[in-house]
This record gives sequence, structure tokens and C-alpha cells, in this order.
Amino acid sequence: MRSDPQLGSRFARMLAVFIAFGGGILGGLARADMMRDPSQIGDASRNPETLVEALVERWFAVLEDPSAELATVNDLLTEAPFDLLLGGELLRDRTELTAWVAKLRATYPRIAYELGPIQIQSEGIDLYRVHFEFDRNAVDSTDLPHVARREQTWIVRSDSVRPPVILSIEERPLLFFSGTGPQIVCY
Amino acid sequence: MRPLPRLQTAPLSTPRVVRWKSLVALIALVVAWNAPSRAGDPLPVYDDVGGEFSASSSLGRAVSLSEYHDKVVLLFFGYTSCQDVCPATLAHLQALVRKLAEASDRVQVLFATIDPENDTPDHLAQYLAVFDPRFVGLTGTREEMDRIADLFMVKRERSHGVEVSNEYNRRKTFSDHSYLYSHSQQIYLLDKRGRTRALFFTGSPLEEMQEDVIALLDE
Repeated sequence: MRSDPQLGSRFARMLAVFIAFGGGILGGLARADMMRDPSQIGDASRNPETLVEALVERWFAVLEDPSAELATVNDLLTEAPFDLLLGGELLRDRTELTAWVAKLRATYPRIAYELGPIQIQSEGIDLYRVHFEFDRNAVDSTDLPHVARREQTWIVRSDSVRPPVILSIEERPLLFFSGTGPQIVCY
Repeated sequence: MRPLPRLQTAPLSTPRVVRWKSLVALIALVVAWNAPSRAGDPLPVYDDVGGEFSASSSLGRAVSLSEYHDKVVLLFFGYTSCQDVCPATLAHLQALVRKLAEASDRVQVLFATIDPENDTPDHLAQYLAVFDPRFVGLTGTREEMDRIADLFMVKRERSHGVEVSNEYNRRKTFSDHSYLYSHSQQIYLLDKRGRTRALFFTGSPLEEMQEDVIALLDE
């Protein structure tokens, strides 16, 4: 008896389709199961890099919110002395930081930040270098608008056990009129 | 209550903060884009750009920015040997000053050199007189001019003996005795308190520049 080559290939195609569909359905069920498993969700959110991103967003949320307790900003920092270079001022302890936030709020009753992409690089065990740019849009007490674009580099300690904390921040002002070309060659 | 300002420049590449905030910002941007006029909104202060300075000048004496506290200042950085953007920008400022007519008495154009070794006070005076004798040139030691340029975040770089090409593909080799500068090209609009309130370029429409200058004069 001769086998029909077309029948064979048809069977192979059907088998492939069955495997593909079956795999997809099983995979989907497995993913749905994972979604329901709180421990799986917890693992994802405890990813150190995810925690670092959340820390950055929380820092700016505190600075934006005039009703936030000044002390809450301290929860985001290491208890040891730190180095924060912000707006040209070097802050080394929590008292100085609290005073800086109070001064910022007094200068700008309303303030908003828009963050660019956050780049996170591992700097060793539980240490991360974080870099991003942001726009600061504010209104002072005379209702005059203020704008600035800056970049910050953070060193953060983050692991899957303790909440992440900031060890240092270095801020630099940026040219933000680059849309039309910051440089031109003259000769 | 006045809405928060937004930078009128190229946005950051991928705004991220909280996503619903981005959506609100996008809607606000669309609304702002379709607004009929920007008149009435005060110009924002550029917080990190500028500051007080003093320098030798084409007037034959030292001048400081605070000296012009009753005027609106248009400040540009360049050098007299420049053959393209610097004279083009000064011609643009000349046209603006003419357009301002009587109001130009309350406006001061300052041209700060990035080439202080060659741009002496006398040379600056002769050069600027071609455009408008009221324009004032600033010069000094290299350190003094670098400090002023840094205050305004001006990028500049001097090169020797290099071959450059521009967008027209003209090529020219520079000897050790000649030089070129690559430098920022923006014009700074400073209010009567010396704060940077707007940035212009050679291509900025004169009407827009005039409107902003008048707005600051009226503050």
C-alpha cells in the first residue's frame, strides 16, 4: 500500500495547527493562573529596578504635593549622611533636606515635574545608578511662571527585602532650547 | 489661578511620570496648541539661565547687566570674525530694533564675544556700528568671558587647523593662524531685572520677538 504524500502533508499541517492552538490555550491558561497568584505579582513588584522607578516617582510626587508632610521626604533617604546636590546646594543630612523642601515650597507654591525615561544601571550588589532628565514647571508667589530642564543622577540602594533608599543625588541644569540646534559652526 | 507653564521647546523624549498625568498633559497641550493667542500670559522665567555680570565694553568702560535695570536686554554671544550666523543674527536684531521704533530706546542689545583675544573694545565698537551704534559689545579676559558664557550655558569650542564643511558642502582648511568657533546661536531676552524670559534665534519671526519685548517693557 502506497501512502498518499498529500494526505501526509495535510496530516502534518493539522498536527501543527493543533499543537499551536493547544500550546496557545495552555499557555494562556498558565498566564491567567499566574495573574491570579498573589505571590507571583508580589515577586514582580519587588523587582529592585521596579522599586527604584517607584522611588523616583514617589520623590517627585512628594515635591509636587504641598500638603505632603515635609518629613515624608526623609523616608526616601538613607539614615546615614548623604550627598544631595540640588539646585546648586549641597545637602548632607535630613535637617538640611527638610529646610530645602520648605524653601522650595515657599518659593514656588505650585510646582510640577515631567520626567523623561529613567535609566537604571547596576552598580554592584544592591546598588543602582539612576539617570533621567526632567522639566520643572512652577509658579511663584507673584503668579509668575518659571521653567527649568535638569538632569539628575542618583545612587540608590535597593534589594528585594528593604525599601529602596537614596544615597546621593547630583543635579545639573540643561540647555533646553535644543529644538533649533544648540550649536552651529561659524568660520 | 494661573495654569502651570510648560516648556515651549522640544519635549523630553518619553514623558513617563504617572500615566494618567501624561494623558491630562497631552489634552492640555492640545488645548494650548489650539489657543488663539499667547497674549496675556506672562513669559516664563528660565530659572537656570543667566545671572549678573560685568565686563569691558565697546563704550570704553566696564558695564554690568544691572546697569540696564530700566531696559529690556537682548543678549547674543558670538565673535566678529564669524561670517555666517553672527552677522545674520545682528542684522536680525537690527531689524527688530527698527521695528520697535520709539520703544527701542528702552531696549539694549548686548553682543558678548566668545573670542576676547581678538575682539577688543575698539574693534567691537567699529564692528557693531555697522549694525547699530547703540549696540554694546562686551569683552574681557578669557576667564571673564567664559564665566559669562557659562552663566548662560553657551556652548563654544575653538578649533585650529581643521577642515570643516557646512551644510552647503563648501570646504575650507584652516591653518594654524586661523580659527573657527562652534558656538550656540540663541538670543536671550532679559527682563528689567536681568532674568532670562525668552530665547530667540535668527529665524524667529520679528513680530513674535516684538510682542515679547513689548510685554516685558509693560511689566
